[in-house]
Amino acid sequence: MNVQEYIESGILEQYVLQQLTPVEQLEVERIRAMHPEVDAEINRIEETLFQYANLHSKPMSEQLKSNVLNKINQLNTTVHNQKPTSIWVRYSIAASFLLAMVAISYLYIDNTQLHNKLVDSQKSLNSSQENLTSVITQLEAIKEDYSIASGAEFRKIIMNSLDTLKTVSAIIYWNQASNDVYLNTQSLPELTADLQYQLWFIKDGKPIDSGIFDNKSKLLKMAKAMNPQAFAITVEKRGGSPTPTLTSMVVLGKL
Amino acid sequence: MAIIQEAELILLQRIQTKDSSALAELMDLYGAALNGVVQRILTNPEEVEEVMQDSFVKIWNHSLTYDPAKGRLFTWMLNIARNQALDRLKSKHNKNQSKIHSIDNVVNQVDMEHKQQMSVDHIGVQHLMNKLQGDQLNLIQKFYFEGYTQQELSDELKIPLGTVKTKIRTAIIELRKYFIDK
Repeated sequence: MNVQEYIESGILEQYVLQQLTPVEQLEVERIRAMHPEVDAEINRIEETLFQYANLHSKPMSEQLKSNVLNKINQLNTTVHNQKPTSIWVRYSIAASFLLAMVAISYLYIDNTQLHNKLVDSQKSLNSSQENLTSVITQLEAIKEDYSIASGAEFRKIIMNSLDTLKTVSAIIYWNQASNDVYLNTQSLPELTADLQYQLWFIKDGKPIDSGIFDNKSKLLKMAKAMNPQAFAITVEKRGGSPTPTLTSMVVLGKL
Repeated sequence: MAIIQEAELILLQRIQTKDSSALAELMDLYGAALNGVVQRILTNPEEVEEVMQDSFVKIWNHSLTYDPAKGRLFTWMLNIARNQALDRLKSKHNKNQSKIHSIDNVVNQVDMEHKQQMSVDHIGVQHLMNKLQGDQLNLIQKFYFEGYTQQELSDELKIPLGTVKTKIRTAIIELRKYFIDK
């Protein structure tokens, strides 16, 4: 329930008219302390109640007022005339009051702690849920990669480094029916921020741009390639190049 | 509002130090409004006076239990007076019937006592009635002054609890507009 719904639930009117249980009252006070708009609403309800009562006001007779004053003056005198309460009675009253306060604060603290624990559990449950969702997403991605890699229409082309001393490689999965191209960058080294890899496919001896990418372990979907003879990856300035820089070719794979 | 609350607090502090002239001021300030509420619940003028006297004595004796953080002084006083009046009604009812009765019967009795009095006797109220629709005024009256809970209103008027809450809320918002326009 959000704050607006809480305000509209009618519980604040019940609070003002003291129709709630002590536990419910504490809850309203807790929420009131957290949300200024709840506090403002309670003030408005009280103001309306006051105005409404004023509208129905019937003056107290002067007789009634003086009766009240006589009564309390009597009370005052009685209080003064009473013989002083024994010190032990006073102490025990003070002690029991203190005890009650301590008990109430313990209950309150206990309640607060329970509440905090509940909030913590909820948080950790939420984060477990998030972890699980992320694992499922990863699993789905792996499943997809696997189905691509193992599909019958796909041809697997391994691209190797031209420099035989290097173990750099990447794999192309090319769909012969749809011409879709997927790229597994496997072990390409990280580039500086100003550079990007660019994939090319060679058709009739000419290189055709197949898209730029940053090195990520995930399987990448690249531009379609019709009748490719070979695939190659070069390192280009960020944003790519219209023609491949042959000196920066990293890997090459022929069909 | 803040100024009212400050004035209330100063008055209350004087009451807490047992300054009876402060209680006289409090009666001048809020006595009439409380008296109106108590008269909504009890018809017998003597009973009204007794309850009003008991209420102010209670306010005087319990002034230290009032917590400004929880609401206005008027609201606190209103709840005391209303509860005193409802208790009186309940005990009278119990004496008459010598049986244990639910609050339903008590609030029904409030109605019974007021059937004759229900005629609108304030120009202000008459004015309001033109503003509020249908049973809104009746609901507000019962909810504000006569000790009905929302559930009891729902049972008595045979309308769903959610509808009662919405109606009361709409009525209160109408009231607010009315008081602001006034």
